[in-house]
Amino acid sequence: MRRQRSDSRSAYVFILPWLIGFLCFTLFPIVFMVQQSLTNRKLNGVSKFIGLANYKNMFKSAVFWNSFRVTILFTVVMVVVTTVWAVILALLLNRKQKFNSIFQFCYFLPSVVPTVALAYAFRTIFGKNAGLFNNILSTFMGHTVEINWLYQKNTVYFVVFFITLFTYGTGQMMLIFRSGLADVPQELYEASSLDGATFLQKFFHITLPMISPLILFNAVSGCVSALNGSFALLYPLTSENGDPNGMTQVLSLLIYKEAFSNMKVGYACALSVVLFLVAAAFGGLIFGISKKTVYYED
Amino acid sequence: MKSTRTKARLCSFGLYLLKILVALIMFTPIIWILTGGFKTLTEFTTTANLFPAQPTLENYQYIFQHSHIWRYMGNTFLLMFGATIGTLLSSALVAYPLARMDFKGKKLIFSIIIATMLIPNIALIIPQYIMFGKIGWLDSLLPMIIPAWFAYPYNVFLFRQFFRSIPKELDEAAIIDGCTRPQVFFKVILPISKPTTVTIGILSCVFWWNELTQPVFYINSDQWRTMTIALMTSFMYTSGNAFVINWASIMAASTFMLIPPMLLYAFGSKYLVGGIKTSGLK
Amino acid sequence: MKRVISFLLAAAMMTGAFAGCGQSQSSSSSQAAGSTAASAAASENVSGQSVTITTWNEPSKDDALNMYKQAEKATGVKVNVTVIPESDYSSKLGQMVSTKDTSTDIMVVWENDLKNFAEAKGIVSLDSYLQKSTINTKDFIPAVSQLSSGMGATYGLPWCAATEILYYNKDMFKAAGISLPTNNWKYDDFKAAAKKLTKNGVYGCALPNTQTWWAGVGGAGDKIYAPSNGQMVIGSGATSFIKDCKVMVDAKEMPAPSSDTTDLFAAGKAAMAWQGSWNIGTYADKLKFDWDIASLPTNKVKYNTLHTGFYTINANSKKQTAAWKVIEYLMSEEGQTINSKASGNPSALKTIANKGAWKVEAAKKVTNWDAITDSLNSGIFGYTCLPSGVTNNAVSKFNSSLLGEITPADAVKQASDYAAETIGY
Repeated sequence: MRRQRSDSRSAYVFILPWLIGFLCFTLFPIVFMVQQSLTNRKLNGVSKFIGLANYKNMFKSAVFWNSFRVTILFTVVMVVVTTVWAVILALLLNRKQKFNSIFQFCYFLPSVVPTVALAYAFRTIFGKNAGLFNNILSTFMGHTVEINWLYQKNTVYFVVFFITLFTYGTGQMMLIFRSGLADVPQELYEASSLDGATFLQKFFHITLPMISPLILFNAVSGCVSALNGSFALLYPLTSENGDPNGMTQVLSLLIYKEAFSNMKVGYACALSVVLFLVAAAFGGLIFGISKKTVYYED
Repeated sequence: MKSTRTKARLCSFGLYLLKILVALIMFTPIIWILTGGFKTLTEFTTTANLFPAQPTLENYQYIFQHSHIWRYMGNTFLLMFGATIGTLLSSALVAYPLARMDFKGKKLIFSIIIATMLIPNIALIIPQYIMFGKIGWLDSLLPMIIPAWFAYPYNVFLFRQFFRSIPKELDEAAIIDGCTRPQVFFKVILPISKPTTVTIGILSCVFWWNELTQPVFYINSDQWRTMTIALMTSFMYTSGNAFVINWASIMAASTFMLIPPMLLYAFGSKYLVGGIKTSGLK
Repeated sequence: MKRVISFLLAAAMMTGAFAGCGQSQSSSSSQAAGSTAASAAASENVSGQSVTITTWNEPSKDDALNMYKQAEKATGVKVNVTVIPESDYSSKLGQMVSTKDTSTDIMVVWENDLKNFAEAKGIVSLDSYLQKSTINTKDFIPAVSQLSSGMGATYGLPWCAATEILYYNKDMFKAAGISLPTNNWKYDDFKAAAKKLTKNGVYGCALPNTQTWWAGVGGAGDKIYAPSNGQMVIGSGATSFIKDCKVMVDAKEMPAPSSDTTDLFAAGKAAMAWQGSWNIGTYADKLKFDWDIASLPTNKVKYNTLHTGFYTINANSKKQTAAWKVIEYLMSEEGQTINSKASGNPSALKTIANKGAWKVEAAKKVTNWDAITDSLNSGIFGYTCLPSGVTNNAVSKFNSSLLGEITPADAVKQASDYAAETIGY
């Protein structure tokens, strides 16, 4: 009995760093953010209570609604695209073959390239006049191709989502899927092979259920990294305005712009509250879906 | 029998082709960066050759002579090690009781940790910015390093997963031998957690080495610029004309930035896959 | 009617400006405390100290043309330079002020920030220093004194008065047999020339950059900046200029906006370009073709935006005396002359500007130096008085319109809506 209590006490000591961090760097900022969103705080620190005016203005602003839509779109598509790609990469590497370590090196390395560097590289790869991609297309098509990839509404999303395949989040997901696939018992595959199952059947009936908890985990962390990482990718790629015509202006870019280019810190706090709620909604949604679909081995 | 073997061979050949194709796609931007650093600005902006026609070292000369590149490198290393050591220690500490001890409120705490994993840092960065401004931490690395010493939920989670896979008898035996809980943690658990520690350490190092968002918000002056910020400022424009982006020097600096993560990978690749424990992930 | 009102307003502001100047001169007795501090400080030995200046321009690599290096020699104060690129400049400086940053001593502050920073007490009044100094503030071009009016004191001194001009590739004009641009060139002359010069992958004119967009808009008759309420005022002028550009983009006389934009004029791929006068110093003798300049051939009104930055002293700096020494040198005839020679930007002090040091020696190909004087006369402070978030957003909308994503009218409306919801927060 006494052991138990002292155990409990030492457990709390272990937990302490997290508790302090949680109170100082998460809980307090949340409360503070809500409070500041009710003021007209400027970057120079001058502020006055203005009630819900920030929210009223926000809901009237076309720029905000555009950014809100873009954020939802980005998060959904980015999570799907990066998760699927990470599964594909992991599957490719799962089959034991020669040179696998070289392949893994090639697949993982792009994700350790700084996102800024990637953004600049792709800005020029998808450039209009001297871009690599247009050049490759020109070679195949036999005539000069000058597609303005990043400045056209029908191509910009393709490019941006393509670039997300190379980001840190994707590499991290691939590693997690890799170790998850390694844990799937080989006997299951062998048994089904004897039954004459095709590759796709095996994938959908064995692999997918076995790694579904991982897909949930990766979807959740992918969601956070989509909301979080989109800033580091898009700020150097399409600027704080989210060119073209605000099509890539996710909320994080708008928050930065309002706070630092327009000095509207109180308003930026109101936007942050919305972003916070969006993240919460996504989290709830993913957990909701997963309750029905995720398979847990007991 | 023979036909199945040919089929298997064809299959594996096809898989190789696919793998090579994917590798090419994944590696293209890196080659573009590596070779771009050796092109002249004119060549970079007027042609799309993958390899430079006349390789030049002028971009490297430019970034080394023209900027405080060693200062930026130093700052980045400071940030990377400061944050990584902090998060490894604190996250492992916090994960230990969550995985291996029973105490009141464990479920609640774990739920909060999972919930905070869902909060994107960018949503809280403005209030944090004001907060750090008030205590005078802005324009330094402190707003990034200090919070790392108070456990990141994501890393806590990964550590917990690993600790759960260690047989409980190990702790019990040690406690019977008279070890206290902290002793068990430092002397028994941590030493056998090397693969996980290395994996999380590498992921954290790579993350901080590449981090742009937080430095963009927190760093103003040249003195504390990290490499990522320097890429957007010091190396970005040709001198004298703020509208001509110096792509070639950006690529040269990016090449330079690639080296540490590559070395890290080379050093830790054998741990990377096994280090993340996913069994019982629920 | 609108014109008359705005003229009256401007006139009122001007008188206010001079009254403001006069006041700061006459009220010296009330600032006795300040001036004793200044005189005490003046006797302080500052040589050997080091100060940091924050700016967006890379200093010249040639020591003789590097005003900071020369300032070091003249004052004995070591000068470190921190460069923050233009895209982030305003916001980073704003952050420094809000956090009482001490890492910089002298800040070169933009037009639209000067008042904010003074209000936030991030920069100090220079009045007491100015009384002891030989800098003649009455010698500034009118636009400058107008801008610093209404703040009750002088918080900053303009480092130059840059203008926007037309650069053209003489070789291409000659090859096409077109008469060369003059300062009296009309907008239609410009458009006709652009059409004729477009061939073999060469554009008639480069795309207006984030700065010269506003010259086109203002030239087409829009007021752009309303000093009375600080709002952005664009409308029919902006719409017509966007339409004109769109026609040129569609005809490939102008490049479409793209992510990998480069200096097409310098690369010999655009026959003309609307750019800041500071590019003369950049191009100097580096271009491989014959080129010259002219004032901008804007549409209805002769218009270009003046550009400057103000030397200010950080209120949180611990080396304010040394900082002032450096500023004093930079504003002196020697400092201003070196600056002009290096950048091609005229001094904002009339007597110094009239000596013509801005005729960059290395730019031997330039003959039409009158273009600068002409542009100075028609130049005003316009978009630079608006928050950068607002003007950047507008240019982004204009560019989207060139690509056909929104109509010019919608672009103007969206830009105005955003300005209205942003300014006056």
